Amino acid sequence: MENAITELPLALFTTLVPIGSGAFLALALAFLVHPFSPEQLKRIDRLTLLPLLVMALGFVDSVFHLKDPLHIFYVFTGIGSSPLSNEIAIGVLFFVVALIYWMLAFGGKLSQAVRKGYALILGVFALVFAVSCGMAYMIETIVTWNTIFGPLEIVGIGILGGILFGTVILMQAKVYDDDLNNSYWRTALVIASVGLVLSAGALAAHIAFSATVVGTQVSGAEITAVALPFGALAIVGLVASFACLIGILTKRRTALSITGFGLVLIASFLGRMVFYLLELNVGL
Amino acid sequence: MAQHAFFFDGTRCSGCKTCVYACKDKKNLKAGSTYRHVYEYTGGQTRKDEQGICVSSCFSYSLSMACNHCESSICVQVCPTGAMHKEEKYGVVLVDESRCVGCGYCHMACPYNAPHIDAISGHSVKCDACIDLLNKGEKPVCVLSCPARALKFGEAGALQTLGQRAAIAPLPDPKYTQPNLFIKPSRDTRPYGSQDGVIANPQEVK
Repeated sequence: MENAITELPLALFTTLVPIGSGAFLALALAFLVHPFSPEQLKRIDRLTLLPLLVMALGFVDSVFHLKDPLHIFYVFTGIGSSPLSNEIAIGVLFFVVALIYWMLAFGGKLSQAVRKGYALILGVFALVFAVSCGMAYMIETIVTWNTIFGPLEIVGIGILGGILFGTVILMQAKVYDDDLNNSYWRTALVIASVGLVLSAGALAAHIAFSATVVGTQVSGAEITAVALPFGALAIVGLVASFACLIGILTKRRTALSITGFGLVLIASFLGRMVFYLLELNVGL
Repeated sequence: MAQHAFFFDGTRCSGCKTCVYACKDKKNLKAGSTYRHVYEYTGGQTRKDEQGICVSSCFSYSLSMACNHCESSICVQVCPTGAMHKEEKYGVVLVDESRCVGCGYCHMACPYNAPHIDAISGHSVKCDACIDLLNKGEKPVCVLSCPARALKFGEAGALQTLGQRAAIAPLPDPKYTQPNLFIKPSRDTRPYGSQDGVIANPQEVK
């Protein structure tokens, strides 16, 4: 439990940043399948600042995990050798590229074709960033982290949370009409279901795997016993958020969008706390 | 560079912890902070057999250990700022405090519990093999202080003829980081991975 509390800022960072960047997946999908009027685009672009703010909040929060943030610029000297440096560099690059997108879009400088391509690049870039976030924890000596489950969990959170976040933006921008719904909902649901399978499935598999690990001082079974209730809650929350998305997309229940988004945030955060609870070094 | 290493003679160590306190004194460490730890690994049980005779399988041995300045230093590999680095003269792993952000990755990754984040300075701190003494042609203070002469420090090539590379319990498989710690095991010593015993002084070596 001590590990998870110490790493609270990182748990928040690895929740907010994948979900914030993942919102561009939903926006890219919407731009690809539906032609929006300039007025509608203006409303979407205004609210596209929200994912950037969520990401910025995640980055600022991550600084609280450092004991001497004044030396933070040295982090970029580790690019290529340290997975943590790679993660931060990719994250900062994503943020800059996304910020430029938003400034161009908000300023009315993006044509429909460029907008589609730019948003799609951001959507794919968001997945690359999520993978790099997960890989930052693949440390050979932390046997319970050195698995594919970590990156899969974060990618899953980014996809599921991102689709929910993007859908909330489309609804709050009041552009979610029948035409958009008809061309958007099936694909959005399929993509989000992949996110659910990855986030909840990888979390369950991660807990099951960790239970089998034998440590020098603590056994995997001991830490798993502490993590299991939180893990179960996280999985229930992720499934419930997906159920909300089904309601939003098939029944057009706008009120569910905020509930679904809140649920995915809380469940993802719980899942990340479980990840830190599962830390088990091969040694002392 | 001639990689240097520690050698620990388990047949000599009495677990007196003079090495720990000499280190604390030399480095002026506060209460609760040590760069060197003495692990007490104990196990077994005493029971009466069918004839009522007490039979014991109890064992206990000590292991004095600080940073092992590993060949494949995981702390150096994960450090995002390059603060954790291997110096060239002795192959000692050092912390450049002017670059350290105190992220704690080195602490999490190290399987030997060596680097810690100092709450006051906000930087990673650990054994530097008393490099100031090495540069004067002397030995680390833990080695100098050991009353049983159970510790040595010198070129790894020479010390590896005296013992095996850190492959005893409660240490992990040395394959992960190739620690520069060579050990002559005592009679009771269990191999790495053994579940026969437990660390009897967990609070002391935290």
